Formats: sequence, C-alpha cells, structure tokens
Amino acid sequence: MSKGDASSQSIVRAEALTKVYEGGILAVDSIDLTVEAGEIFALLGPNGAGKTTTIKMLVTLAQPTSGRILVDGIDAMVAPDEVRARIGYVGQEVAVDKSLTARENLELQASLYHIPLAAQPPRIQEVLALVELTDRADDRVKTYSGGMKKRLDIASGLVHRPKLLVLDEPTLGLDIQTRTRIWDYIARMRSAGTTVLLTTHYMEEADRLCDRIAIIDRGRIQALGTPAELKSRVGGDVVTLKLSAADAERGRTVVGPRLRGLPFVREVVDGEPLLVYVEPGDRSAPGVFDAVRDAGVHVEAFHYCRPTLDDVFLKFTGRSMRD
Amino acid sequence: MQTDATRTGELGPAVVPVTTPAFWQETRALTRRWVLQASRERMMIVFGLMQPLLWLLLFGNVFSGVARWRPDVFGTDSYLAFQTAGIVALTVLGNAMMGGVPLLFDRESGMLAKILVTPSSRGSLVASRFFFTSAFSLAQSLLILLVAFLMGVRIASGLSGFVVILWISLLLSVGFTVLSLMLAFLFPHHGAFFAVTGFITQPLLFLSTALMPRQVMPAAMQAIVWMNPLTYATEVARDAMLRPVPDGVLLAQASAVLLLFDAAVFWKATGVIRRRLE
Repeated sequence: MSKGDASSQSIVRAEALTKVYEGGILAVDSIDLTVEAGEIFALLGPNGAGKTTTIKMLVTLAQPTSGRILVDGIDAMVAPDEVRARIGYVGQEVAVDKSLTARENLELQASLYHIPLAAQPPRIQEVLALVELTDRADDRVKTYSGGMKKRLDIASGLVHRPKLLVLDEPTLGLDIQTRTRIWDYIARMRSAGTTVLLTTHYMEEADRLCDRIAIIDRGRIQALGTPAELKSRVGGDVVTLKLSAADAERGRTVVGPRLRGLPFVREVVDGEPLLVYVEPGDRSAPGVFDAVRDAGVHVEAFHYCRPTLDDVFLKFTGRSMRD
Repeated sequence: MQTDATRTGELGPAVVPVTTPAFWQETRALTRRWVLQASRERMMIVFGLMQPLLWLLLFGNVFSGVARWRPDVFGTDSYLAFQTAGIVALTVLGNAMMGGVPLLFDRESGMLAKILVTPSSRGSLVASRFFFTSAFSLAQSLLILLVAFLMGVRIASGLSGFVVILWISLLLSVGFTVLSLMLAFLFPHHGAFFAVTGFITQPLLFLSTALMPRQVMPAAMQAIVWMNPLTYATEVARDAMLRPVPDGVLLAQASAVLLLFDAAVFWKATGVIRRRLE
C-alpha cells in the first residue's frame, strides 16, 4: 500500500463520505475533510448532526454508503484492521468492565491490540500515570466514580499508542473537575505527537482547545477553520443596542440608514434590540454609539462583544445550537 | 535509515496481522475476562453449579418409581440412572444457550464496540465464549456425575463411556453456543433475547428424550423428538451410562447429526454476525 510522504500525509481524509441509513435517512451527506498530523480537530454540532455517524465510519464501526475515508492513507473499507491498529477510540458511553480492575481492563485491551505480553506492563503503567489512576489500578472498577471510569476508558484507548485518538463527546455529562482534567490529558497527548479528533457540542471547549473546527449540521460541513477564522467570518464584532420605546420608529427610519453609511459597519439587523456588526470591533463600537446619539435617539442599553462560536453556528446554520 | 525505522516502530502502532499467535492472544485475553468476571460472582458460580442437581434430586425422586414399571423401555429399573444422561445434556444445552449473554450486555454498554474497533479477529470473541461455556459445562457435568455416583449410579461402560459423554456434550455445546451468540447479535435488546431463548428451551427439553423415553410419547411427538439435537446427545450419553459396551453405530450417527447441526448454525451465524459487525 502506498502511503506517500509521511510528513505531508493527512492522518484522516474523508472524500465525499456519505451514509444513508435504512429507511433513507441521510445521516452524513458527502463530507470532505482532512485532519493533519498533530492537530486537535473538533466536529462541532447539535445532536443528530451526523458527528457520531462520521466517527463510526472512521473507526470502522459503520460502512460508508458512498465515498471513502482514509486513515494514514489507508482506506477503512479496504484494510480495516490496519486502520483499527492506528486508532484509539473512546466512545460516548463509558465502556469498561466493572467487575475487573483497571489493570485487568488495560491488559485485555493491550492483548486485543496484539501488544506482546512482556511489553504490556510498562505501557499500562504509562497510561495509568497519564490519567492519574496508578494508585487505584488494582481496585475493581465498580468502586470507581464516574469520572474515574471515564479516565480509565480514555487510558484504554491509548495503551497501543495510536497515531490518532478519536473521542466521541469525551466530556458529556461529566463534572467540571473531570472535564478540566480530560482537556488537560488531550493537550498532553497532542504535545506527545498524537493527533486528536473529537466531537463535542460544548462551544467553549472547542474554542479553547481545538486547532480547527468543522461545524456540522444536517449531515454536512457548514464551516471549517480555526476558531479565530470562524469567528472572523461572522463579519465583525457585535454591538447590541436597546433604544427607548419612544424612539423605536425613528430607530428604523433614521438610525439604520445612518449606521449603514458608516465605513466600519458590516451589517445592521433591525429589530429589538438592534444588532450592528462592526469591524474592527474594539475601535468601532464607540462610533456606533456616537452615531446613534447624534441622530437624537436615546440609547437605553449598549452591549458590545466579540463573536462566539454560537454566533458562528447561528450564521452558518441559521439556528442556534442551544435550540 | 535505521533511526527512522526505529522511530516509526516506537511511535506507530504495532500492526500485527491476524496470525495464529495473535488469535490465541486475543482468545486467551477474552477467556480470562470471562473467568475473572465469573470468579467475582461467587453466588452465580455456586447456584449455577447446583442448579442441575435440583433436577436430579427433585425430579429424579418424584419419578423414581416409573422406571420400575417398564425397565424394558427405560433400559434400567432406576429412573435416576436413566435421567442422569438427560440432565448432563440438558445442562450443557442450558449453558450454551446463555453463551451469548455477556455480549448482549457488552453491546448495550458500548464494550462490544470497543472490542470491535481493535484489530482483533471476530472469531476470538466466539471462541472465547465457547471455551468458557464449555469449561463451565464440564464442571457441572462432573458434579452431576459425582452426585449421581454417590446416589449409586455408575457409568456402565466405564472410562470409555465417560469420554463418549464428554465428546457428545462438546458437539452439543458448539452449536448452541454459536446459536446464542447469533441471537445476541440479532436482537436489539436483551429482553427479546431472553424471551426467545426461554421460549426455545422449554420445547427443546420436553420434545427430547432427556426426561422420558420416546416409547411413552404419542407417535407424532416421537417423530419430532428425532429432529431435536438434544435427543441425539441424550441418547448417546444414556447409552454410555446404561450399557457396558456403547453402541458405536448410534455414536457415529448422532455425531454426524450434531456435526451437521453445528456446521449449519456456524454457517448461518457467520453471515449474521459479520453483517452486524460491519
């Protein structure tokens, strides 16, 4: 199998990847994307957007209806076992055997990845240390807290040192402390050279930790880029104005056109409140305020903020992720 | 470039093609998991092992008189001796039927998906369940024979009969373990699985010769009895229990029938399991 030049090779490449479930439900609609070596890449979208289905095709749990997905240059349909050996997968549910100890769980996992018995103890020691479970390694998992079980689950996805770690909603339903820890492990995995692909519907997390984000909705990628790029595509920072009730009519007829005439205003959305997209944001916001006041309209409230990924989502999908 | 090669080996995963040692490593690791699970469920082991003794002691005593009426039909005047082979076969069948249960729960917990995304072969999952189930059946069978022995039942054909009983039990175990695994994959929830296996097991028991000789059954039932794998295993085991020299023709015929049954189930299950796994 030709694998090309290792340094320029994308770890994941999806080409027109499509999944139609029985009954004609189009879960993934011709997705193209690449994940480069060493990055943390997030698929961001609401439930039912097609994130998990995409992941399932990647980790060989589902077959594409058409198109293909390559891992390290290898087609998942053609050589699934080679793809499986390169991926560490941590699913949405915490999948560990509760009647075994952490060490026994990891030994099972190591043997299923064909790590020779003699090489297993140091590997297991290493991943136990990473997820801070060394002290509890020989306790049965049924005595663990939910967060500890999740950490063990992540460790078992790392025991064979995969090139690519795939995490499906790694922090779903976890307490803040555990979430912070998990993000810390993910960051450390990246510095150790592992590529990380994850799904999430927590905007803040994707924003803070990921190198690139694909916004996915209704089975399609709606936008893709670094968090900063995506936010800049919203078309500027957002100034929100609440005008006094008496001036509402005047706001529409006078203020709107006047604002649209300003060089730093990208877009004005009439309504209550009034939304003004400006760029560059920090220096333009006072100008908006001045222009409204000069029109003789009283401003009751004024709010300025940089766009969040929620604004990005709203812009590219036409709906809020929190709906 | 030696350094580069070393480096790839360090960073990259160990891609081992599924070879025979790899298959045994997986099977060994999975079987160990089933053993560890069971060893930590002491109550399950204790009551699981004792369950067939209830048949022997309760059912056996209730019907203790019947063999004395027609020793010609029963082949012995001791119902206990008659029944022992049937209980061994029934126990093997019952264990095999439950062989797929852990996979049901693994499916629901996400553990199965985790196993399936490893480069391990799917056959090792099936093999590990078969080994574990068969080992448990063997332990139970030995216990049944021991208790029967203490109650005065001897294997008339001695050691060779004992080997024959183990052999025919194994053939029965393979087919039903694989059938159970197939059902575990086929049904969406464990409720459906238990309903169907429970539904199947009853007629398999009563439409076999495990508890009564076929001569006492109506003609229509007698015909059906010979379509039941449990009958073949029971007849061979009973022959070994009751007759000093086991019937070679019966052994050969029953083995052939059970092997055919196993092959058919295996063929059907491979298709189902492969489809569900991919």
